[in-house]
Amino acid sequence: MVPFLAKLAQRLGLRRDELAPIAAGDPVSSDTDSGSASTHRFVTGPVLRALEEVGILARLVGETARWTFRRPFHVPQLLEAMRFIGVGSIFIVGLTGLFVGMVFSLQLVDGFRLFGAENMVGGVIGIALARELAPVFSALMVSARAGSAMATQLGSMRATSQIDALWSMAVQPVNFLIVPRVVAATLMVPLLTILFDLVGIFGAWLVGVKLLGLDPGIFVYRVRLLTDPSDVSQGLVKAACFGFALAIIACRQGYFARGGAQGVGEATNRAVVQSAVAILVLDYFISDLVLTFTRSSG
Amino acid sequence: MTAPDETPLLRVTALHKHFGALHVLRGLDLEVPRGEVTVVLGGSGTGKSVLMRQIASLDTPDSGSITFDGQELVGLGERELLPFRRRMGMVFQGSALFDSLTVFENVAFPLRQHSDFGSAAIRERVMTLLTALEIAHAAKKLPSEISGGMQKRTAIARALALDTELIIYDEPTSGLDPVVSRAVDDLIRKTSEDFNVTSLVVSHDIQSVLRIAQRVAYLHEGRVLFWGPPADMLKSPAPQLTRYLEAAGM
Repeated sequence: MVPFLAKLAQRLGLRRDELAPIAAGDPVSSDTDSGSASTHRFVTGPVLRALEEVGILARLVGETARWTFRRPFHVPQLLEAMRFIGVGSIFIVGLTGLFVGMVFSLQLVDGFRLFGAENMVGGVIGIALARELAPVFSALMVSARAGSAMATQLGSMRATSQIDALWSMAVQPVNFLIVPRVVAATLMVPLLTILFDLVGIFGAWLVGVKLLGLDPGIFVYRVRLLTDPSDVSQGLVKAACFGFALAIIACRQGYFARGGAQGVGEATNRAVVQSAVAILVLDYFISDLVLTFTRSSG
Repeated sequence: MTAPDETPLLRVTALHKHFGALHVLRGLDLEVPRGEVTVVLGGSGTGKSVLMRQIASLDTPDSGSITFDGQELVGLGERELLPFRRRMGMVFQGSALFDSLTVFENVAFPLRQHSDFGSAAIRERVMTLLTALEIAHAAKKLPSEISGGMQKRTAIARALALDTELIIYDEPTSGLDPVVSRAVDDLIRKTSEDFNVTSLVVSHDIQSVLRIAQRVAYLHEGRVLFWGPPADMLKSPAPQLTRYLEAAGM
């Protein structure tokens, strides 16, 4: 057990230069342990890898937080990241919002008619979009479009020594590459969520009112009656958390990518999968937290 | 009139570096005299690139000392290293130019990050460097639009942008044809003389070493087996070095 604990401590207590450049092939996680039996490694290996991943991610979050408030502030990089993540995702988020609203309206009208409750459709869609659908779908779209691109960009920079070049020019890579992307995603995903809300409601109105014959006045009235500003703000808080999570995961995967083109491809793949899982897991826990808080204060 | 500084610009003492069970640098000692071109020569896997990374503070040695202009670098934090990084330039094996920036923007990058120059002064400085290195005509091109030799020139211009005192070249002629390799060698020597910078070059190309080196350090199994002028290297009786030279056709 002692070697296991020693390795665990070593993995969690990352070296000071863990976030410093990693040489191509620098075997941070391939240290040999001649004393351990293969069965022991088989059991402890996945646990250690998971803990190592948590340690690296936690350290990267800490470094990002630290450099967010330290000079120099790379404003052009931040604006470019906001343009890429935010402006560049408007079309795909808008399109997704439109069809999510449309299909949701189609299904709800069909289902609610069984109970004669189709007039509630507008309100239910409003709440569902504001609280869940808009932040989750917006974040998933941004992750698929911009998160994958971030992982690829940083991975390519790692593979071609551009990150080492930054260090050699006395430019802190976390400050220059990661902070602008994380801040931009944290700011832009909530804005895209507002867009998703609006376009989604429009899509639902289009199908519910124009195609399925719901009363337009009642549809709008129910949306305004049932959708509380706190629902929207809950969604925006979630969206900011999702934006932060997807960007930090994409940056972690790209920044520490290894192994040339194949390594960059695998890093991009992991970035998208892990971001999607993180968004859905976070969604549950934030929802639970918000509902508990709302119940206790209300 | 002051006497020239005879102390080495860079001194490496008893440097050790492990990667897991692999002991790459095994108590390596090296001196790099001011204003000279020193070449670190050795076969594949002898620790040349690992040594460069320790010197450039891109990695941390397990033990030993690296002093730059008399100041210890090992153990310094990120902030304390910044002034030293500004005094060192590095030319990477693949040039490591930022592929989204033009040649001009690549060379201007360190100036924009670390100098108080206005845009006119940066333009003048960058164009002076590009002209000196004969790539001014490619200033508006992206790295993907220029040849390997021109990429190397751009990387050298970028390394020189901040009045650098030491330039570290990692395998500068690797992957280049003989004509371009020779041009890059000439450029390293010319840069060292024209800009009065100290150069530390990692290479396994013996012809290149003989063209540019004023000092050679031959690495074998993580230690410096020979250090001195190239002419003395050719006469060295060390069997490992003799074998290396024979294999290289010398």
